[in-house]
Amino acid sequence: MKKFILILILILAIAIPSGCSKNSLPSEKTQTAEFFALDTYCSVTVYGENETDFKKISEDSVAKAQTLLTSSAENNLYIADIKNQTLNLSGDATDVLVKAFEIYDISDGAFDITIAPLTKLWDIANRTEPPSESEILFAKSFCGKDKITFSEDLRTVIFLQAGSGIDIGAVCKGYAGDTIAKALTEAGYTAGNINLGGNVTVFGEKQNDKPFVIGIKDPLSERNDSIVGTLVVTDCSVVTSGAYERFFTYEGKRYHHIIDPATGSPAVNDFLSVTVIAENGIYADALSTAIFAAGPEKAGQLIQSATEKGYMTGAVLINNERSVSVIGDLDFTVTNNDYHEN
Amino acid sequence: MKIKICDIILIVCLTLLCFIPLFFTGSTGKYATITVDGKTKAILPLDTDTSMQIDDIGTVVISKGKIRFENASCPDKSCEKTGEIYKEGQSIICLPNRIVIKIDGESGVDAIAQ
Repeated sequence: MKKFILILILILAIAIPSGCSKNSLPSEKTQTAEFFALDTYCSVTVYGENETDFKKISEDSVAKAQTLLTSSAENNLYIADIKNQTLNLSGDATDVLVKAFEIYDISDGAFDITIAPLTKLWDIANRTEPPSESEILFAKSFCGKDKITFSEDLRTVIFLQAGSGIDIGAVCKGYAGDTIAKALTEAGYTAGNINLGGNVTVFGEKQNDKPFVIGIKDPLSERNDSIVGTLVVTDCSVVTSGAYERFFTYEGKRYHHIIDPATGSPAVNDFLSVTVIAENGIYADALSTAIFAAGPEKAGQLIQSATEKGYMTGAVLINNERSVSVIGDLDFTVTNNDYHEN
Repeated sequence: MKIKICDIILIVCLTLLCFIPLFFTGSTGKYATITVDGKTKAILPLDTDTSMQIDDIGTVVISKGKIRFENASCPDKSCEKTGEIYKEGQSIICLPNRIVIKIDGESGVDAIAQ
């Protein structure tokens, strides 16, 4: 009987802790702030012990991004009322515009922030039917890199035609992600994960040097948690552009928010989504839009040029045959059986 | 070798012990947190069927351990199209009305690029 009790105690000593082991693993201290900004849902998670008010740091950085051009520009869209109107830029705004034009140049204008009159015309969030062909042509006549110029010190934009403008909405979240990551690093956080409506920026490494695992949205699913696969990353921005994000449907046809500067209408091609991984969030944001608008035929060349220039490290392209192309040195795994890697 | 009564007790005890982990790691106690513009409106357990009107924005319905959003007042209804959620870390988001319904806990990925 003594032996029995001994064995029982021994077994209990082994069984009970193992039963709890899932809960008693040393869990890493994380904090998450969630808020609505930049027309989307934002969530910022920080890792490590730190008493700084990271929510305020994040919201302040986002506020800075929202008013990057002027304090009143809605959605960072600015249109000049008169010829030779000038707009003074902050240092950060200059940096964003310079980077945006670098992507303009290597993409043959597939990414163009001077399409402001077209984005204003299409106003995807509020439209229920597309504008007429003549309206599109008229708006398009105010667009193009030749409609604006910079002062020598790059701190002033001069609009050469009344009605021309700039729209930095397509790089604003990328800029905001970088700004938050930088501010949080300065505040002493060792790792963080910033998700601005699906534009993801990560910095540092989690406990035990664990990298971040980012899912890429299933472009054909209505569910916001359905993914095509997972990407393992450190210190970078991951930005996806897809026709499924913002759109309206008219007479059975879908009109989405990525305007092709060449046609003045939403880009029509075989892409379902384009994900770009880059160290810099502005480049990631601009290039995902550029590659999507350029289409599958021109994508390869554009990705090659952008990679050679150090603007991006990799891309995941998903087309309407549910085929996934992984370009660059990426750790990506397709986890969704509806998709196949080519 | 003869099996003694003590051996039988031991076997029974061992068998019972096998179930201990279940009590510690069971999936009970999931909660959905509903926030409107950052302010927490309600924290509801998923194991109780219920429905709750959120201002004039829509209705949250919990049924069979899953939660969904109905009668949304927004134009795009993407919150309704998200369907039922029940896993930890899943969420329903309505941008126009700034509603977030989230199931507490961590999901398998850190973020979803979209």
